[in-house]
Amino acid sequence: MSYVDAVDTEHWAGIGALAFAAFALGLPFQRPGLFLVALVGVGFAAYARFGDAPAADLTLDRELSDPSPSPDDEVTVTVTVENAGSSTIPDLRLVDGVPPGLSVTDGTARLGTALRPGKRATFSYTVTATRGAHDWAPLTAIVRNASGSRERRVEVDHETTLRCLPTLEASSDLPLRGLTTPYSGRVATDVAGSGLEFHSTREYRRGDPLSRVDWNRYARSGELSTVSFREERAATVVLLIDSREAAYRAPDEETPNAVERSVEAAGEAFSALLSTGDRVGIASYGPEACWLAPTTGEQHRATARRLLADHPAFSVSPSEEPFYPSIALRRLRRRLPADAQIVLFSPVTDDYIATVAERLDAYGHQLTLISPDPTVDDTATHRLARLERDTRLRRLRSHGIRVIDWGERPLAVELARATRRWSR
Amino acid sequence: MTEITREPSRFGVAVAAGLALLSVAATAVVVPAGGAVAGLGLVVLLAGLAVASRRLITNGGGVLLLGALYAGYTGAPPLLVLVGALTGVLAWDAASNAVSVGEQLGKETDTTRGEIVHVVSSVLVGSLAVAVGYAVYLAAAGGQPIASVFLLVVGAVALINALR
Repeated sequence: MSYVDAVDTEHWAGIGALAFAAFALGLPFQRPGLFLVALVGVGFAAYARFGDAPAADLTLDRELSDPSPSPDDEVTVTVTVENAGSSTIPDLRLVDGVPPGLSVTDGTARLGTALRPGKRATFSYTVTATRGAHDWAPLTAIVRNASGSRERRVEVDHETTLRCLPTLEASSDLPLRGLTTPYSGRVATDVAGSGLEFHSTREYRRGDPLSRVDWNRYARSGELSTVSFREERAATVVLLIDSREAAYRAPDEETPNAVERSVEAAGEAFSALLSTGDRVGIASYGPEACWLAPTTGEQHRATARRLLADHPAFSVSPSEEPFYPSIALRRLRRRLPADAQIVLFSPVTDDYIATVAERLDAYGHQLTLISPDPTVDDTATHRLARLERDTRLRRLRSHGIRVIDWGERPLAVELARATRRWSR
Repeated sequence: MTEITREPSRFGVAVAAGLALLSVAATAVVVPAGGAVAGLGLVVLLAGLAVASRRLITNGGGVLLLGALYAGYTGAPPLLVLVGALTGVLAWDAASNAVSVGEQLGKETDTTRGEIVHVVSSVLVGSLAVAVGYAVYLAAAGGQPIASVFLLVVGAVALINALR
């Protein structure tokens, strides 16, 4: 709790003028009524000078109906303020410090009241939970004296955190590109071996498994031959989320911004890839560095869930930290395993991230771009931004990078559409 | 997200308008010309409430009181002039407070309790000032009313300077 000095509100400014005018008018004309009006003015002027804003001693209690809700759940916040001091607060205005990432959907996080010593005032409002850890800022109390001529601002702190973890639902399979690890998995490669999809036939060699001998051909021509299939292997995938300031774009105030959508999609992709046996890691490309090395397992899933929920790199508003793009890229390249594919989540709102995608792809980390579309076509400038983005995506496609332009529809629909288009 | 409408609360507007109307009525009963001036003040005050402007409200309150002063100048009965001036000041106070509450807390917030306390304490202080002044005026009505009220005002000014 912090105190500041009381300030004048100028609420009664001008009341002295009334007293003066009435007195000045009453004196030459000898009107008792005007003298009495002057007395009213003097009375209020005295009232305005009487007493300072009370030094509010407030205790705060903030309760959440559910401190760890799922995304989009409604959480009721109940705030109770008690006057722990010994003086009455005749005019108390409370403004709760709702975290910037949450929006109040019902009621208001404010109250105007008067409090006697030991009494409590309670108000409640509803917020809709969004992904992440949200800390409440201190409650601001504005205390005035009875006449309202003096005002004091007091901040009352009470640690409250709402932790909302994404559920990491795997909605669809993410089609991967050909770069794989030596471990078996589900990405069909061009390597001949055991698998499901036909690859080639070759002459029988001693030691080939009998189940892969082409017995029909042997019956027809008497030659032994072996059928090979495309070997299915696991991939190492790093989900790279563009969290630069330029990526925090949204079509309007209500819609989640592109980083929010990227993080949500990364959660889905993470879960889907992990359950198909691929090694998945998470990285951010932005002022706040985040790196989760690719691996497998349930513990890894839990770590990723927490990371996507409340790592500062993926917060709902841009970071204030300075960003050094080339250093971040160098550090990312050093950390990337040589056989790692990259799935980049970025709205591609500037040329720079497009060159980053091209470079990473050129370094041999086959890159897939999932690009949430934050553009709209209501004004000329917005239309221009949309056209520029389209040009960037087209250029990336022409460089052989797989691009999913993710508009309004669910990611699963866009993925299904894109998979049909991509022949291996 | 529910946006905050930074306008005066409905309660504050109702109280301020009611008090201003009372002031106009008290002035108009004795001096219609003063009532007309006060009526103009009422309109300006209401406009100030509508656009949430402290400056307009202060101007409106000033014009409202100008009507009461004019009534006093024409020699109207002191009690009615007093009521007109007192309700005028209270209307200005309530309106100004409603605007500041609206600025800080918004229209949707429950602010009734705080505003009631503010208005009631202003009414009590104003009534006390009127009661004391009028009592002295009546008590001295036989002898030298003007001189006694004059001295009372001077005494009050001296007192609040000492308070500071």
